[in-house]
Amino acid sequence: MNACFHCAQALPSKSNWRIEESDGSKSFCCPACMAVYQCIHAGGFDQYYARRSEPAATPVEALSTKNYRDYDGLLDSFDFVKYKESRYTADLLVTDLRCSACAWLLESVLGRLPGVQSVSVSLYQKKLSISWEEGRLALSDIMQCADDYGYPVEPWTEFARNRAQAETREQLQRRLGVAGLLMMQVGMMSIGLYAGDWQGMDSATQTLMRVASLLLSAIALCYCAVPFLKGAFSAVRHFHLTMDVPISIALLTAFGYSVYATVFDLDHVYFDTVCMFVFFLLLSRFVEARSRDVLHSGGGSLLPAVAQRRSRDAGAGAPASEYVLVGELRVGDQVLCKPGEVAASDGCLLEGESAFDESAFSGESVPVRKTAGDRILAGACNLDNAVWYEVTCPSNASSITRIDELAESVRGAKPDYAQLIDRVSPWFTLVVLCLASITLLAWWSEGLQPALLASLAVLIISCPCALALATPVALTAAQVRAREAGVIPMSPRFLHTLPKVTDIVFDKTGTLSETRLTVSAICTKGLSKERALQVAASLQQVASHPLALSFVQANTAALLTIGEPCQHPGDGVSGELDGESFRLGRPDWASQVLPSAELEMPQRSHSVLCSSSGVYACFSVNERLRADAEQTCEVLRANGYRVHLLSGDNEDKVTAAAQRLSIDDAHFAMRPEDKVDAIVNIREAGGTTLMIGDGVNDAPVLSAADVSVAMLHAADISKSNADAVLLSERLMALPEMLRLGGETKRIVRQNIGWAVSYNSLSIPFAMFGLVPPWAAAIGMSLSSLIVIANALRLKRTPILARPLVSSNSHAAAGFPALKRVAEHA
Amino acid sequence: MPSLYLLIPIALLFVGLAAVLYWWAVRSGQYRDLDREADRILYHEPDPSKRQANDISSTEEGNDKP
Repeated sequence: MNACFHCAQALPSKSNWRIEESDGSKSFCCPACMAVYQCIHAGGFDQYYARRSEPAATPVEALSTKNYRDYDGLLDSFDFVKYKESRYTADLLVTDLRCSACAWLLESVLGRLPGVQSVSVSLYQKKLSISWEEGRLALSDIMQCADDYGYPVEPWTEFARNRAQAETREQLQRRLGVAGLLMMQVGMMSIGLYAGDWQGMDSATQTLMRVASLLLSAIALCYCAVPFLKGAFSAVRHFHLTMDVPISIALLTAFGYSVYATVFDLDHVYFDTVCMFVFFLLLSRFVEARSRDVLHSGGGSLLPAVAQRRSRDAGAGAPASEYVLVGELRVGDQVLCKPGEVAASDGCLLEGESAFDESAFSGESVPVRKTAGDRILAGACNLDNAVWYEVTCPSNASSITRIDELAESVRGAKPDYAQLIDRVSPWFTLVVLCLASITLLAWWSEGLQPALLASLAVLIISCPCALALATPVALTAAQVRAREAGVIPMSPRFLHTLPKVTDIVFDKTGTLSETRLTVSAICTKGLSKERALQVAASLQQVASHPLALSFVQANTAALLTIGEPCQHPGDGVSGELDGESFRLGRPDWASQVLPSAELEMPQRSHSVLCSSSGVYACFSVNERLRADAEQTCEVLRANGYRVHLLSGDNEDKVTAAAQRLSIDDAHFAMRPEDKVDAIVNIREAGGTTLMIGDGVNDAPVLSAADVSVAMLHAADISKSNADAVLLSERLMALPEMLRLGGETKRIVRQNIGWAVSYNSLSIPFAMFGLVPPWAAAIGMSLSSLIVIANALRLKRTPILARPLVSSNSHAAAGFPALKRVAEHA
Repeated sequence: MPSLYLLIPIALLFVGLAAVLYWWAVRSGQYRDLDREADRILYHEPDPSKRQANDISSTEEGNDKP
């Protein structure tokens, strides 16, 4: 077993984070994972590990303290908290929810807190709703508790918008379910009626069954079909033809004629056609709506909700600082940013110095050191120590907002798949309506009934049902398959554009490489590499920097006790060991203790360990490429795709990565605009681009590319600009998606070919009155069924097995249902 | 087939009942999270003997991570 028991990431070469238990030893990749495991184990929630189908998120944030206390003071001014009858109710966003085991764990853990009245977790929306009694519990306690178990939480924003969306979806769901019930009942009675036509049936029974069907399909028409009728009505009023128009005409005609036939006891009724039509239409709308809003609420907000501001009136007795909502910050305000916090707005550092993680903006993987006067970006995470900064622009004009605007402007430039359908459907509708009226007029001389029947047959047969289903059904089946491979398509364009792709463009930091840094000793003097790492990790114990965590992870031996440990912000750490005082940190700072000024070290050194007696070791900080990055690039190249690398990181790192992956076309130090230009260049050369990225700086390029994929941990702004989100960190899903895209295109072609040839062959027969409406209805249903069955073949597109979570395999033994879950994972 | 005069109205009644039940179930949020409910039956209450330990240990262990 060489994966972390908690988060299933690959273990560092020799991990010393290990717990021996009666059921075997468990290894962890970092102290944070182990702490979360101990928490879960102590609470008696071990079944989480047995039941989960996705590994847990790695609790990277655990080293920094999130200041949840800030939320308590402003409880009543938040819109995500409601107060009613001495009860608070809050909605929180939990970004790291992975599977139903996570939801269960969170519910059980929070349900035990004293004073909590109800708690529910929605996996679909990644939302935690909790209500508690006033005074018995603070909001920060709840947030801290969830955090301890490895689920950082934040306020659920855009509350109203989401509620409206949920309401529409629920309405659609109600209509769909009712339509399904009605379809089954009416279908059952129509089987009776058809049997009656065959064997003979007395007219009283026939009338009874017809009346019952009439009642049921009236409900279907008046309740379930409302969205289509409304759409058609407003389309007609604005002199605009949409698919809703022929759909509504067909529905109303079929229903009207059937009522007429029931009253005057004519040959056939078509209530089953009406109900089935409504059900299938609603089904395709529901599936489409569901795949669209999945994950839209999935990303975290980039900026904090609260900021600590220095009071403006410095009168005696006034508090030195106050908490305000971020939206209330004005230019010139002085704001405190504590370690582990995210800067709330763009600003200029006033006092102190610290390191900021700006990797999301620049792709630069190593934290950037800032001193007084330096510029701070909203959304960058403070790593070292508390600093004050002055707000230089309002939050709605910060750099992050500008990146969003850039992405928005690029997005408008590319053609949309949905627009194509909108352009075609009016013409199709027009042709169908013309043909139906021609038929009606041509048959007019024969009398009302044959004329109506013939034109009804035309409307039913030409009903774009199979044609309208052809693409969505195939896309839906492909989307289900994509989800199984760990990719969530966010726009219908995704699968549609994949077959055209010729160029694959990767971002580096966080995409090809893992989000965590690794440390290795590149040269040592008088110490073994292991010993050097052990000393360095022991010194780093005091630091709260992510780099410090990397040192601790790289170390395989027990940590040593350090005398007088001290952290020097921005420079490094110092301490005493065996009577010798050591420094570990930036080369120019650490070397100050050396007696002579000269210093020899390899160029790539990032940190140096030395004492007054000389340099002991140099360390380099590396990114680890994802385990399957090499294989993915190889497979892509083997399939004839050109692979590119665009990164904001510096030259050394990018060339090193490009060499290992044998990517010829690698660009470094690129700003968001440069990346967009690079994509435009590829497109002008005739290529179609697939972009994969994660950072905020990737948002514009993601929307500029023909089709794009964002990583799961990507910033919200990047996800909303991407056409799909990669759920697992498995890059091999990309070649699989490209293959799935090709298959989908093939199936869609077959489906459309079938639907068009069926329609164009049968319409002439219907116009000549050779097809009675009941045969038309059966033909329509059959052609739809063929289209659906053909699309379902997509669910068999091969996908490589996803890496199993180690704990699943043994837990699932002897439990078939769980085995299935495990295999899915 | 006089029995149909009774059976068909009964069938209609049942459809109506099922539709109302479904309506109520959606309205009360039971279909809100389709991804979770299938697995819910697999979970049982955690071991009650460890109940007390949790509330104390969770906050302590959470804070003194190395």
